[in-house]
Amino acid sequence: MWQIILDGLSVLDKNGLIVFCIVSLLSLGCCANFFLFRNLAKQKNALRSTFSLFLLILFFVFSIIVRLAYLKDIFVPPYFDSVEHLKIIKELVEGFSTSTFLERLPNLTSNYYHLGFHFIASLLTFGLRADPINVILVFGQIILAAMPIPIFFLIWHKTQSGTAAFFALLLAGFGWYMPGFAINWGKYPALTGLLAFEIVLSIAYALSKRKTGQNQSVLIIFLIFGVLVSTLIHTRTLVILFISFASWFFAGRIHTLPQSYQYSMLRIQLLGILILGILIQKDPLLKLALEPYLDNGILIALIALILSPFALSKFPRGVYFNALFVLSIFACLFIPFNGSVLKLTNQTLLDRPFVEMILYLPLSLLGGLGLAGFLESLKNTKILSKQNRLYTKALTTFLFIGFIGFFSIKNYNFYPVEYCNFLKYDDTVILDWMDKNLPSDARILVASDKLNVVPSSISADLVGSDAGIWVHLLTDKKTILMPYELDFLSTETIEELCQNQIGYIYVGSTSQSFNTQQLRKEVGWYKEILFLPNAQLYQLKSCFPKN
Amino acid sequence: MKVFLRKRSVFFIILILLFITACNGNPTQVPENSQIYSDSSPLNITYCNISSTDLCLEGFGKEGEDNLLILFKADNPVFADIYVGIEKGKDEIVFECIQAQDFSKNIYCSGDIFPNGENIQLNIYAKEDEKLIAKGGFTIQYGVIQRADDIEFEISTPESSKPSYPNESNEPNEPDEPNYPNSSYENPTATP
Repeated sequence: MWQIILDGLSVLDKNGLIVFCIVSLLSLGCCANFFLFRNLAKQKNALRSTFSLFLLILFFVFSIIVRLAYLKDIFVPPYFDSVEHLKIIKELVEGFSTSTFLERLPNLTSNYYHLGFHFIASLLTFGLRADPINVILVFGQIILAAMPIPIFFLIWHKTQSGTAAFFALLLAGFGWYMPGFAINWGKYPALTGLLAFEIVLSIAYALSKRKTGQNQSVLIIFLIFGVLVSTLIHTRTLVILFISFASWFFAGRIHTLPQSYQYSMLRIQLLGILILGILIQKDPLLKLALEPYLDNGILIALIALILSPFALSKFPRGVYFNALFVLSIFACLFIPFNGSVLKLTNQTLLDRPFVEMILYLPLSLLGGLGLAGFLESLKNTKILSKQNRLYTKALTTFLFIGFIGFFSIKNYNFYPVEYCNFLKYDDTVILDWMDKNLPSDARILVASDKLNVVPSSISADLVGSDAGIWVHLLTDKKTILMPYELDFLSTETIEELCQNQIGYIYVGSTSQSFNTQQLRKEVGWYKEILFLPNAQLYQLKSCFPKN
Repeated sequence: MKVFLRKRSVFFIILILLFITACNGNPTQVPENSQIYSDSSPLNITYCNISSTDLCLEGFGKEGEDNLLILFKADNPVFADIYVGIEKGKDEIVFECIQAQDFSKNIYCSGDIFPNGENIQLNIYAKEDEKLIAKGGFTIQYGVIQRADDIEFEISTPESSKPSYPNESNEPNEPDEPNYPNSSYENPTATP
């Protein structure tokens, strides 16, 4: 743990200005959160709320430091999505610098691609005159550190319990490896969109609790603005916002029914979740969505579920909301979406990575509500004496926050996973060598794989599967993507390479890189230009004449 | 105030325990960027996998058939502008070094090739004043990553595929694996 903190501090030392600016920006949102709930909170003791806020700030600072450890030895944002993010951000920054932003905007990307996130990142890059790679890397980690904070405020207001709010904060931050692990997928727009979604959720919740006339119109304007911004950052936040509003509305309706009907409705929801959960588990693609919560995180998930009866007894509407939310996002995995207007085809309303990333939210809320319900039950129980109740409450706090918090943080992986981190040291050397030594019209073959996130669709899109995906962006050389399983021993492959006028072949170090042994074997066709332990560059020596 | 502190004592105890646990262990020292190296006290370098100090050796590579590539990582900007000399008999063969443009800490040096398995003494000089600022003895091994316990293994081309967007614990069993792997993914090329 100490090493993680040291690594984080060393990254903070090098990127202090970027961290400071992003934190300042986010603090505005968090302050808005606080002021939204400050007037609504029924805290009788100002000292207690100040203490809670002090602990929250401490948690935020701690989260930033440990999350920054991720950046210690990483060169670029991970996975293949990041190349596209960087490309768009560089274009936008160039547009700002040359005042050609509006002209560049329509041609920026052939498909719509979360321009809101790229706009924010490019503004930060332009304003700070910083390296866009560093900005994306730091931005992602700060977003992760900030994501639990709106959940803290939501639970704090709903339950009036600092303990429950902190428990929800811990669950959201470190309870499961999601949403943090999504950074390894380069899911920067989705994570930023989730934070924006949480802030919008807080505004909507505050609006629902305000009495008429108390600055309601201002809140409504903020809400609409928030919905627009979060949709621009990531389009799928519109889907989960709609699901949230609908779930809250119907949860309210269920809450007005007689209790026996409420429980019947809840049983139906739980049955629906079970059926959809089984269907999800049966699909080899979709079952990954539940893995963080059923494998590594099963213990924490079970604790949240075990506490749910207490949540049901004290905060039933919250439980109905969470159940409806989970049911809806599960269903969205199977609902097809025709986004031809946005040039998106073969999609579902929500995809597997997105559902996997967001399931922490209902579980964290349930955990917070459940703990609050449990503590409330302790307060009201007549079995224990007053002093014993205090001791039990202290023990519960210690167990849930101290022990579970410690357990979660201790087992949390704060560093990048190797198989998502395409660009390693050797790749940086080869890329630099290529930039300096290859002709400007060189055409380089790079490895790729089919994009496969939706079960029912066969995607024709190829996505980069090793560091070769960075060749075009970092060297300005033309790249051609072909499947990584290409058989370099076959004459058909040679013909295809020649037809595409490929001169060079880039081999990275992932499990989906080209087969370097085949290339080394056929010395008559391929010449080894550069050989490093984790990356190689080959030249196509000659083309077969066509018969 | 006393009542308030007494009730919050659990939080304070938790914080103290977390602090004690976090401080337990032997963290590696943060490199001192201000340290100055000279002829009399050049830095003794080793492999980056063993100890990542101001300058360390990532490994060796080949440029074509005739050139050796020496790969360095420099956390200290003192080592940004260097050249390398390798003793060969009475002479010292000079390797020109280049700093990677987009990744300024990564430096690679190119020069005459040496055979695999040869023991060499690397002398690193500052270009500015040609003073010896670092040195180290290594065995040239192409395509091999050196580990702390001197266990060597050869990089082989992986055969199996992995999911897109893999999770933390995915196993690459399926022929058509999804993108975005989870945390459970076990990379067949993962180094021990």
